[in-house]
Amino acid sequence: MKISKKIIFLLLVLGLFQIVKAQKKFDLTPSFTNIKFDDYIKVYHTLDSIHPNTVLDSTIDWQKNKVLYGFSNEYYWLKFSIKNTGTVPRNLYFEIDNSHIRYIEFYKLEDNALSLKYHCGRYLPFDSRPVDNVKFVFPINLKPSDSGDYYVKIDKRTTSVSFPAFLWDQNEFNKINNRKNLLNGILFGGFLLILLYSILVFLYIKRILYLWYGMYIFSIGLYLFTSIGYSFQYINQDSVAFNTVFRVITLVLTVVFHIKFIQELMKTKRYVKTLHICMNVFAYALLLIVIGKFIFPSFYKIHSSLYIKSLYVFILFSMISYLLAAVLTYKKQQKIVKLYLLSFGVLIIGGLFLMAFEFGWFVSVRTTVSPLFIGSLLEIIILSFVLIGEMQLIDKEKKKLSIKIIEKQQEVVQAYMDGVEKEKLRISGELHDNIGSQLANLSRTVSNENQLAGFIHKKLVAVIEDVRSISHKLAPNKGTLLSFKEQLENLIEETFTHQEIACKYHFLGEYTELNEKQRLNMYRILQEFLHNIIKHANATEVEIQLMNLENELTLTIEDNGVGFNVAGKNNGLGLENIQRRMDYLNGNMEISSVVNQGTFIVLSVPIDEIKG
Amino acid sequence: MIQEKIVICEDHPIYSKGIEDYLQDYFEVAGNFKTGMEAVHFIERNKVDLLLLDLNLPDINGIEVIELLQVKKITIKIVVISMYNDKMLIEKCKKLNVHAYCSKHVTNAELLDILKSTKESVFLVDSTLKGKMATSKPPVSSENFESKIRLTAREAELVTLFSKGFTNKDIASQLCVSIFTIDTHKKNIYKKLNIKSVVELVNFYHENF
Repeated sequence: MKISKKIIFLLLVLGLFQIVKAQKKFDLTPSFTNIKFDDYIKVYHTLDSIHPNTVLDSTIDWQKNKVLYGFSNEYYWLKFSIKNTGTVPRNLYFEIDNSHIRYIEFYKLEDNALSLKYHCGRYLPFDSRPVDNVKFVFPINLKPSDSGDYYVKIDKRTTSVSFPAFLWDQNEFNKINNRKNLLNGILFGGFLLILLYSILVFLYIKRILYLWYGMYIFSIGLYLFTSIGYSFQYINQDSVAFNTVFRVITLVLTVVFHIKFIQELMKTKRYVKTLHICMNVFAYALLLIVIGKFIFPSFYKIHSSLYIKSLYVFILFSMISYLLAAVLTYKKQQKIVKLYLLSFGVLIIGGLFLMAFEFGWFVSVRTTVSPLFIGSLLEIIILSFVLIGEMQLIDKEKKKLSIKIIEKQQEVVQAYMDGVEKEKLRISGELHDNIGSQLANLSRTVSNENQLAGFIHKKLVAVIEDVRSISHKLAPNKGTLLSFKEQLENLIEETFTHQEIACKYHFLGEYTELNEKQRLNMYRILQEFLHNIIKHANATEVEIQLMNLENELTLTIEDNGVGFNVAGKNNGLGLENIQRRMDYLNGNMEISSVVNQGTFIVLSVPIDEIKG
Repeated sequence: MIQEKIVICEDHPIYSKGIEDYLQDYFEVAGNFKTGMEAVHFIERNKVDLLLLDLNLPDINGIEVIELLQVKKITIKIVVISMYNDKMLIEKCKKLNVHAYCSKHVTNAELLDILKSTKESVFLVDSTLKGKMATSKPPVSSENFESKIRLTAREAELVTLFSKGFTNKDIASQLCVSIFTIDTHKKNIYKKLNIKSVVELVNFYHENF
């Protein structure tokens, strides 16, 4: 837990001290289940790798146990005694609550000499451990009234060392351990769920923010997995080198992905460019330091303390940059920053709790799950809420945009239709007023002359009729000469006059509140449908009904013709144009057609909504 | 013999000039105006017998000219001459007591005949329009069709079926149409009769059928 250890060093520098109780021989009572054991341990540390029996020498300066020793190049020897004061044999476990001790040797004093019982550690294969556990656990068996003296040698040189110790009844230990594994399993499950969620979100909305977030969760999850010690137990048990570097890599990746995540979340590139660049530098520096270890392993071995310290420095810088990014962009995005600070605060509190446990400030409290773990899970849950908020925002923007697009499309359609109608009107006017009138004059003047003139007159009348008819089709609306109702009646009458189709029509309500666009488009729509009936329907009866009731203009057209496949793709431009006109009027068109039974068409247009 | 005074109201210069040249031999052309308002003003102040009126004019249209003259209680024989040959438009003019309706490509001789015969109180159209006005089988408008209850035949049929307790589904399958069609018919019937429920529909049925 290097993040928390760094904080611990800072606090040590600030001169914090801890209270250590007097040590004594531990008396095992019949009711014993477990105890935080630090107070019963004496410690001796030395730079030399001494022979085990040397520590039995009476000149050895045994000191009170401190639990945490920070960076050290020394070997640590622990010593403790236990006496079974009960009447039954007891099976105990002695636990060192640290998953990362390189070598640990467990001795029992037998016949005035130390006898090596167990030899294990992070750098040794996992199966050398006496108990299959993420922590280092050693069995102790004591018969009634028996007592034992035990010595432990801890080698974790060149790094920081701590060894909180616990003594357990074996049954109690197994019970608690099972519970701990279950809880950790549930929490890791939570991590996986959030990871899956963020990756799905990334795939869905394609914002890199969610990818970085997913990677952050992934790396912090792996870091915690390693940090708790599970990676020794479950990932690649036999590869010592793998387990050694795994924790550093996951820690660095966690920090780097957090940087990328913060950059996206806080939009540092936009708001605080300099800080954005600094953050990138920290991220690259961290990655280079770790990669360098694989390229120049011998250099790193010599300067291992420089390596660790430079890592810590950049991690500290990175953490400061998170907070700076939050503070500097606070005004721009208060809600996000507040929630972020809350989440980060939770993580820090988790770290502080862990530190407090290692210092032994909560002696009687024994957590089943690492507080840092709970802290980071809470952090991730809060951040997930931040991201859900972000996603809602994006969703809202998306919806707004699609509405805009629809509006724009409608505008284009309107402009197009207006343009088409204007052009038709212009051509119609030109034909009618200019060409038509001139031809009419010509025809009138030649009519009275000779036979040739009579022939010319006949031809001219035909040409004039064509011009008139084209003009009429282009612009049906003769200003206010005919009312809307009269125009439609005219259209129906002229359409069916020379047809073998019985047509009935009904008009209900007034049409005065219809604007020009509605009149013209409804006229065109009716024109198109009547055209279709004449041309394709083969009907003998048609019934047309137009109602303007309750602010809704309803046009129904019913025929008993051959019908058509409404969903068919070959219904031609006519129907498409009608649909476009209906969209333009915000109207609704429904067509039901049964083959050989007829077609029923309903068009409804809201009258209030369009302002002329 | 005293020539009748005629006013021409026609906005197209070539056409109005041509017609004025021709009519000069038979009438006293008192005025030739391009807009309806000018013509109305002139007729108000001068005694005129005839008005040859185009319908398509730049300010007020020909129909409005006729209505304006009627409002001002000016009696004048009006002959409409127009490019339009819409039946509804011709009938509208007939209703406004116009004396004749000519298409613009009427021959000079026929136009003269019509202008001269305006003393008869019969609505005249020129020969090109005669065929149009005498239609053998005109479509039936609602005025003479079940106008009392304002329902179409299909709607009346549906009212009967609804009142007998058939569901939309029953009726749809019976009439070989979709339920949607029946729903729409029902909605339209409710709207037309201004009712909200089947009970009211049944009441309506018993009162009117």
